[in-house]
Amino acid sequence: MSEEPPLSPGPAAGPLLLAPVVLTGLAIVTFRWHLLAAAAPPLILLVVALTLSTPREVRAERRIDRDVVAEGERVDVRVELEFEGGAVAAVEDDLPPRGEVESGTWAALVGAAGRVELDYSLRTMRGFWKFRWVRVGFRDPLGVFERWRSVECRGYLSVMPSLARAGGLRTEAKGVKPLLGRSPSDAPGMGTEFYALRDYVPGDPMRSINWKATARLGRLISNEYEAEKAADLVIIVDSTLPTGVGDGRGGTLLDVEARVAIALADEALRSGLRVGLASVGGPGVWLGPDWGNRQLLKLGRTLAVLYPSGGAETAPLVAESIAVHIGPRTHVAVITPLTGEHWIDAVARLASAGRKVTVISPSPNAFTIPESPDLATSLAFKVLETRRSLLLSRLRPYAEVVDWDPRGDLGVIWRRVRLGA
Amino acid sequence: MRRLRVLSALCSAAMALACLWWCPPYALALPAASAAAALAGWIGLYSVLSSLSWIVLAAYSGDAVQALTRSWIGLSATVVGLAALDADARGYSLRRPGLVAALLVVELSAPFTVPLAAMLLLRGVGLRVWLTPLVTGAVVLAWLAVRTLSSAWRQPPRR
Repeated sequence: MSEEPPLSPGPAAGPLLLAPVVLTGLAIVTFRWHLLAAAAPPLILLVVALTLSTPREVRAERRIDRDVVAEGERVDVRVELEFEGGAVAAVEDDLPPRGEVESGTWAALVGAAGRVELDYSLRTMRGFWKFRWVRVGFRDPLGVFERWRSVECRGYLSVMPSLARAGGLRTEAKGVKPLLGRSPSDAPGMGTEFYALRDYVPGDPMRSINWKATARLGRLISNEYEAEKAADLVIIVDSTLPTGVGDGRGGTLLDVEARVAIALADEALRSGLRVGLASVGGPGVWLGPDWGNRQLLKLGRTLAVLYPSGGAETAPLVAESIAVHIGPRTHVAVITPLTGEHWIDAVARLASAGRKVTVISPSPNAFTIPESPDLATSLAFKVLETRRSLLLSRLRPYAEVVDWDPRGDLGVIWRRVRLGA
Repeated sequence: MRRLRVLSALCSAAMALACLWWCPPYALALPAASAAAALAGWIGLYSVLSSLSWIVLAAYSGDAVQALTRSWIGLSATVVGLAALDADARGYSLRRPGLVAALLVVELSAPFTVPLAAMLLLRGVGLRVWLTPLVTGAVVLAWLAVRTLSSAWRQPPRR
């Protein structure tokens, strides 16, 4: 055992200290000396409580049933504590800041002797959560005094943005051209876009014959189409400080951005594209483009570690650096609430490097405005939205822009903006 | 969780009974108010009202043994009620209630038996008459506590 943890008084300590003083004062004032006997029980209880709140040796071990989950999924946590000697202890686990205990208990008053277990099920929001310790308060059963100690008991949980919560993309997107898809390869081949006319070659499908040209030239002429080639998609997520707004039941604006990013990535990976990820702010992540479900998991884990931090000043530099590292046919999707002019510079640099850019911009103002705002708030909201509209209009020469109210579902992005590759 | 608040209110009710028995009727107002505070979960107000009930209960005693007994009743009701409300506020559940109860009995019996034994020793009157059941009771309590503790200390088999 290292050093003695400090003694902290519980709620009963105050009455136990004050009552003897009052009773003694009463005895002196009224000359009823037998009242002094009434002061004895609280004083003796204080001594007993001090004796019983002696700390014991304790070891703790944590088990989490999974280390990677999606938002809203249940995680079972078990903490096993082993005490030496008998005592009463209050045990409180180190819950993630945005965790919600669904069943079981994370705090208990235990007759601490031998092995004791805490079991609970937890649901939590996107993030990379570190369980560092379990707090153990050695105390008497009445909690007059406590000595708290943090017992190291580590565990890690990576909570990815949920595809289910970002859901509705496919059903909402019926009959709408996909946001992402194939990009023209500048060479003839199988495709849908007209490329050139050429003489009919046996084996050409009948529907490819251009009848007008055939009649004009007197020989069979076929249409040639431009071959399409799968492009890479790189998603840049803005995780600068302004994205930390919100944190109601729906999470922060960054959580919403992460859901959009994982939904885009899923859509693109299903279409056979390679998908990469970068962030501006937060821990500053870069994940190179790749295919497959494994990449989706990697993207989810990377999105889990993002947190709002820093400013957008570095966005142009990050954009320039990404433009160097990605291929010429890469489609860049920038997800940003667009709270400053730095993003305009960043998008302009990507566009001038020949990259196709789509900006998906959830409105931070719409995300934070109360349901029934007063006149001043409404006015402020309108001013902020006007400023944002101006910023968005400055982006339009360089990129496709999706101005999106994050209170709505993601399907709106697909339905409202008919983007093709 | 609300069960713990009811337990606190029951402690106040016990104090109210004691007040009804030994104090003037107006003294009932204090434990009644503290019971209401317990049900509402107001730990600070409960602490003040219950402590005042305890002091009033002790103040209406006629001799030292009465003062000691009534003070102990008031003390027990106050601290048990406060502990229950605190556990309710912190969201605690109880594990190994046997061991906790054994230690609670030790903690609550000491403030009564120790001063009473001292008082009787000092008086030297009827020493054998008072001390015999007292010592027997203390021995039984100690034996129960040790038995519970030793059974709890034994390591359960690892799964």
